[in-house]
Amino acid sequence: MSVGSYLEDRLDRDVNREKLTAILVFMLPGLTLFAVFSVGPMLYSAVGSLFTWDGFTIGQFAGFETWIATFQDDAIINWDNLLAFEYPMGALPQNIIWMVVHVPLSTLLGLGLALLFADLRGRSILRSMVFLAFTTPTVVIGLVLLFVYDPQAGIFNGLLRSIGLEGLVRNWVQEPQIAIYALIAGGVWVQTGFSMLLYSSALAGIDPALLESARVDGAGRFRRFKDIIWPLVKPVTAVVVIMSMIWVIRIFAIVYAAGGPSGGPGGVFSVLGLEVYQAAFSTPIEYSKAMVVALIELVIALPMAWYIASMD
Amino acid sequence: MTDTHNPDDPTDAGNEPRSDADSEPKTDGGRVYHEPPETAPISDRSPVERVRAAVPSGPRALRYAIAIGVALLWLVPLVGLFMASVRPLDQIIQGWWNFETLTVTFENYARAWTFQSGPMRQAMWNTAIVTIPSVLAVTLLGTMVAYPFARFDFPVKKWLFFLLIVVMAAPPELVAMGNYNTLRTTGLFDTYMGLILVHIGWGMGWVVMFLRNFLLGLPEELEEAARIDGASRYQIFKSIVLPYSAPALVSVAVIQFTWVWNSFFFPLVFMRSRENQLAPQVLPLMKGRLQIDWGLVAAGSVLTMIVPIVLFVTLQRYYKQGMVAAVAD
Repeated sequence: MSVGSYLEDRLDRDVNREKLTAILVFMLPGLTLFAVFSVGPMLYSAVGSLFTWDGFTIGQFAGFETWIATFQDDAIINWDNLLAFEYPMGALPQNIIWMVVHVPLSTLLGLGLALLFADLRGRSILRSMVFLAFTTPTVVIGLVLLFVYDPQAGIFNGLLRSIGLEGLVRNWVQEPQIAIYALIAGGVWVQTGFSMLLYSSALAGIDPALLESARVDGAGRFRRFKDIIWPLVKPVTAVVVIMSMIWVIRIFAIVYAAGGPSGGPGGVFSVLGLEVYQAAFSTPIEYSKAMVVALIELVIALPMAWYIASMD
Repeated sequence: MTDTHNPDDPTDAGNEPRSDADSEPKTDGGRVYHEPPETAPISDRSPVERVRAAVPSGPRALRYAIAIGVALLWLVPLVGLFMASVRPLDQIIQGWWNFETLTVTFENYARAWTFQSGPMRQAMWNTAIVTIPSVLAVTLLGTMVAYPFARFDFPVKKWLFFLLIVVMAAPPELVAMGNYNTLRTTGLFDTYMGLILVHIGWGMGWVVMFLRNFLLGLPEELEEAARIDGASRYQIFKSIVLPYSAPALVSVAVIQFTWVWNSFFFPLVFMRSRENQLAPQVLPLMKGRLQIDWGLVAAGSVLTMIVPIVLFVTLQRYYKQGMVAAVAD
């Protein structure tokens, strides 16, 4: 080995060591907190879900016992009521119903409003008006819904009275078979602002000259939407749909504020997050059940997040 | 889009910044532009005509009406909340939209401020104490993690990427049990510090991912030039990377602030004593047992939401950009 190449090698190693030190100095503080308060607790839940728990202390290895028990738990899935499509069906089906109703509605409304506002003057103010609810605390959203549906003071019932539907006036969040849809309407109200914002930024990227020339060529509104706008906003739609689904699967404060930790009368609009909270932090403490339910939430959300991350 | 395009219609210009192309270059691709006249052309239209031209007509006017109507409709629940917060309970029960007898009072705010099972005076202060440090810390530490992540290759990079995505997808409930036990054993349970640390660790997932994507788009040439001039990696980070990422950092800080301030689940689990409660935690307590005291609930809610709303309104450019970038990448 010549002296020159030896020196070069030494230099390389020094540079590498210097680089490695720099990487560690940069990353260590942040990653330590990330490991201790995010990754660690997640592994803890994943492992803990396979054990029995005595209060907050880990016990015997139990395999998938808690997993099986959870799927037979009426609070998570009430199979009889599910087959009869009657609430309460349990937190898992209710959470899924929430997704199935909420996500398409908020996505379509968001796209509609984005198109409606797209070239209006003052669109920025209009968008902010619609988006405002998304920036308010979700617990406030839950209380606002309670207020809107109140039999006396609520504007929804006031509206029913004023159009002569006195008979329909009721406390909508206390009606077992309807309450969940009343809350979903509130969820749509909040999330439309979010999907509108994303669609608006996608629409802003469309060249107006393209639309103009299509118009000159005689393409109608529908054709212009189908052939020009839709292909360009399609990737955004995937993002909007998935982000909304993750938002819904994590929903907690809205439901807690509107119906307490039990999720309404008899848990008629309980969701997975509430069940975790109840199992882990109210007596009797069932840590393993809480971990299983939280993992179910992750299992639903992870493929979607993975899809978004690998999109480009 | 089928309506007639009026050259004077300001809507066509939108609020995009006017390009200075009409004043500066006189040639464009071989075509020669005429000098602009010395004086502005005298409008051949009367003021009335001009106003009429500016006011949209036909289908476009209809679109304005629908758009404004929808936007107002979206605000109705929040307006109701605000109205309820400044009126006495007997008037709220009659409907906040009834204006036959209107008494404006700030008594609800006074009661919320000194609410017995969690005075807002204390709760808002607590929320600020938790939010501000955890936002500043996660922004700084997140940038420090994101920088090598975007620039250098190192062994466990793929795994780190995977973990970040898992944490972004995970519900906060998944880390509650582990953190509960950690904070209990370290004596940080029910303290500001405990909740701050949980928020930092939890926010790290999306902050690092977001800033990594931003830094990937930042040209490397500047850093290389500084390196040739003999700057160390730390100097480069401090004097080039941080200043150039300022807009992204503001976006991160604004969104994270809203998130931490509004968050309900973590305080609910980790803050138990009355004097440590955060504002969002106190609100459900205000409902009371029998008749909901709407005035109190509304006043408390307005106090809590006013902070993120003011932040959003003043920094909405950053908020919106960040929101779009966070999910579009």
